[in-house]
Amino acid sequence: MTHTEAVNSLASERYLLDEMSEPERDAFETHFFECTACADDVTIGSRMQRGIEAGLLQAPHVARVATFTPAQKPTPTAAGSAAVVSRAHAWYQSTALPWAVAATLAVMVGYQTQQGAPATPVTGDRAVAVTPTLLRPSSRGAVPAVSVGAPYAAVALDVDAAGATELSYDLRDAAGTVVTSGRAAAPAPGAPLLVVIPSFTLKGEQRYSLTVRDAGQADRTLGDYPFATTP
Amino acid sequence: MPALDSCTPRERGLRFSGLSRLARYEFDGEYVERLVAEDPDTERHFTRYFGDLLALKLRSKLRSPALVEDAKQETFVRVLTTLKKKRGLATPESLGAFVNAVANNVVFELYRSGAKSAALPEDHDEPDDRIQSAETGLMAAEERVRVREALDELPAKEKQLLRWLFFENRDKDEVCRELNIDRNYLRVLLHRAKNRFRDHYISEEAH
Repeated sequence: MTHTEAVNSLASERYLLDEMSEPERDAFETHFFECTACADDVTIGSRMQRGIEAGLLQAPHVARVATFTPAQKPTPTAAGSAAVVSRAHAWYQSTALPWAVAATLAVMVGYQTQQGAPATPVTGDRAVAVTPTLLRPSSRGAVPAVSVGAPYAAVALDVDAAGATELSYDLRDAAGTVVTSGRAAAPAPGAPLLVVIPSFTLKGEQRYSLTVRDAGQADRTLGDYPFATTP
Repeated sequence: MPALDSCTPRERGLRFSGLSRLARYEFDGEYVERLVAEDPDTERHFTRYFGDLLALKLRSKLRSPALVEDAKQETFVRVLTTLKKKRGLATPESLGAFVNAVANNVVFELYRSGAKSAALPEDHDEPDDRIQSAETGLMAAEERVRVREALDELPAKEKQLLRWLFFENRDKDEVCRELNIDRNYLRVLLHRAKNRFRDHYISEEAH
């Protein structure tokens, strides 16, 4: 494939859209390894595509904070357990909050460390900025990546509450073990459910799934939201 | 091919030097000599530039991310070893073609060994033992921010199109019907969105 042929046939776009036959892919790959202009073009397209696949393209919705509680209640003798309470302030619950602002939220969290708890949690309240990753039900789209590099991982779930007033959710690892669960008020139609997860409860490079149900009808699942953690 | 600076990279004001837009090098004899001499800047450019291209190529051929990374590293090792052994390339301008050819051989060997088809369970999560350095971790984090900010700047219609194509993985014919366009115009729309993304991405880099 020549450079002119690549440009005229929108080869870069066809490559990204996976519209090429294998011989054509090979020909274009041979070309872009030798042509810096086409290499640059296909690289930037790939960067854009992978950013979208990772959920970096936010939708304009209003966020609500879900209260997050561990599956096991902390006890004085429980090792490695911690309670996390998120408190939403009035300004933060404003229904006019656009995604652009909600994309980076300041969340007040409180930690209670127990004997044997991980060193990461800090006793007392502090504000932490989080950037939620949008998750969709498992039938739609690639598995998004959620970073656990920061103290908290935040995910925004595209939930169709379909009349439910309260939701229940549980977070499971790849083995199906429940990491945590809880309940939250159903978000307004069109608004996502925001869940803030202490990163120390998650392992890096693992798959998890958040399942959301109608709290009033336990057998009614509203969505499974898989994601994969990254460092 | 557009003319490039032959030896000296163009520097740009940057927020984090490790994230600079790749300096424009020409793959000439001096470049290969610097690579053989293990010049750090040249090695960094080489691995970053061809790393992106190899990842693109290998992802379509090897489904496992770990295999893609292994194949990429194996390609680099073989290319650099050969260059050092032969003290360069007969035609330095064909460095890109050489890297591509080595990658093809690596993939062929993997196919032959059956590694490509080594089935992994759907929920298999292979731990990555490679330790990510603080620098690469920061680069990945800053890259995510830059990509997200560039995506945020796109017009709503382009965002919607891109979300359908790459996040929701909608059938392209369905997207065309929804927008009342043909497949070629879909590519044109993608082309425009990509160019706008590039403009914002580069302007973010310059800040």
